[in-house]
Amino acid sequence: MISEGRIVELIFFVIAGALVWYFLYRASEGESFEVRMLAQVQAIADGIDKAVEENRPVFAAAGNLAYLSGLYATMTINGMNIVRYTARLAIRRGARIILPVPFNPEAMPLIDGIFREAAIREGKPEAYRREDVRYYGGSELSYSTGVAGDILSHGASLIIFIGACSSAEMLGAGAGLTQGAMVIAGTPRYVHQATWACMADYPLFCDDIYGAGAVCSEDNFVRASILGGDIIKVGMMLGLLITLALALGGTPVLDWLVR
Amino acid sequence: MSSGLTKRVYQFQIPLFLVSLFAGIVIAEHYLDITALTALKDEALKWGIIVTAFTTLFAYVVLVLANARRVGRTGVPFKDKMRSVILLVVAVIFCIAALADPVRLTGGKIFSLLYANTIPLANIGMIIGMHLVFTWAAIKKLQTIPDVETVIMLAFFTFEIFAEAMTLMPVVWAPIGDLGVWIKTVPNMVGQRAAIAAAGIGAIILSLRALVWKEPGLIELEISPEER
Repeated sequence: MISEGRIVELIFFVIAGALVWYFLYRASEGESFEVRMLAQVQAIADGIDKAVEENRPVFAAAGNLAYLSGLYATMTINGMNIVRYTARLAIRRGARIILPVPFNPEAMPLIDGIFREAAIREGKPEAYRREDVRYYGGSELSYSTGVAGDILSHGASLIIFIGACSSAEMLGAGAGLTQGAMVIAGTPRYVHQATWACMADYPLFCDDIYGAGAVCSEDNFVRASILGGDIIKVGMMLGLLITLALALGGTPVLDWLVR
Repeated sequence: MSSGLTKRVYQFQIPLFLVSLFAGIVIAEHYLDITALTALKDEALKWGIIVTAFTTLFAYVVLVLANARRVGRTGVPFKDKMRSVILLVVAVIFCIAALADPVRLTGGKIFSLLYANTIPLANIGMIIGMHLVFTWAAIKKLQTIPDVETVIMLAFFTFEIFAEAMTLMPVVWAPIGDLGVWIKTVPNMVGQRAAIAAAGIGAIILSLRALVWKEPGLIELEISPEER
């Protein structure tokens, strides 16, 4: 009944599920979970203060590949949590926020909704400006040059590119750096880690994005499940060491793993 | 009298239930070898594509409407207004070009010709501009990074350029090519695997939250915590 080659994977999934469920259960029982405040999230508030002082806008995007389906959906969800957090903070403190729309515009109504909702939640509906939800066309290049063009023409004090980002977004980040903007950026896409190591003042690497999303979501259930994830990671590291030891000891452990 | 279908139900609970249901089907199908479940998953994914198509259509409608309204509004900066005008004009031109061949639409001759003679040219200009701006910004930024990791990364990057991207170096000293390949396939691969594992766990956690109705994700953005 169980698909061939997926028994070990299923065992891992069940253990991971049980751990996450345990922490979600504790959260549902009323226990409050705190996640360490990341320096990158803290820097968002500092950057917004900088934007208010300099009277220059904040650019916030969940990545130019922020699709609602497929591989990038999870990155989009976390990126949107951070965009929402930034939008609320910017509106609260009186900074102008510009929201670039990914070149596949399926998330555009959502981004527009986030902006509108954030403005209403902060009691400043007039802060919502439709023209600040910006679409730059249907290709990666038009997006990256469009964002860079906007940054160069409007100026920028804080740039946030967190989510499903491609390396083409370094153009916008580069334009921002020439303007003296603070860049907070990162993506779970492993081939693009170096981009943000070079281009961001506050880079987020791989699952930092999920941690930052959890902090920004302000949701106790999301924070609780992140704790479960950390325990899974420790377990994986132990598992790797045990597997290595067994493999070196001559056991057919690699064959067991693909059962 | 208020309706029984509150915002909490239709904007939070129903979407969460659907997300949980579909997550359950897809996860179960991945592990279980049941033909009926595979058929159900395929059907669910097909409907996912159909729903996504509507979402995309809605996005384009919002896009066109937002730009049309921007043109009509007073107080919008001239540059922004012109950007919207250009977008609308180009959209209309491409629509006409597509409808010129109602059967093949975007595969038609006029559309293809128009596309081939405009968009790739614009892309070339954008690539040139992108690299000019990026390279300058990257060089300036790298001058300011003092930490050990960055120095190591740059050292390996430079070495890789010499060892693999340049044909001259392996001619001068042949083993350098093999060394470049080793760096790419051993230490680099180790880092990549670790990164994938860490990011993958984040994705697993998110799908598990969806499975047990606890992933507010994008849904909660329209509803405040007090209303949940």
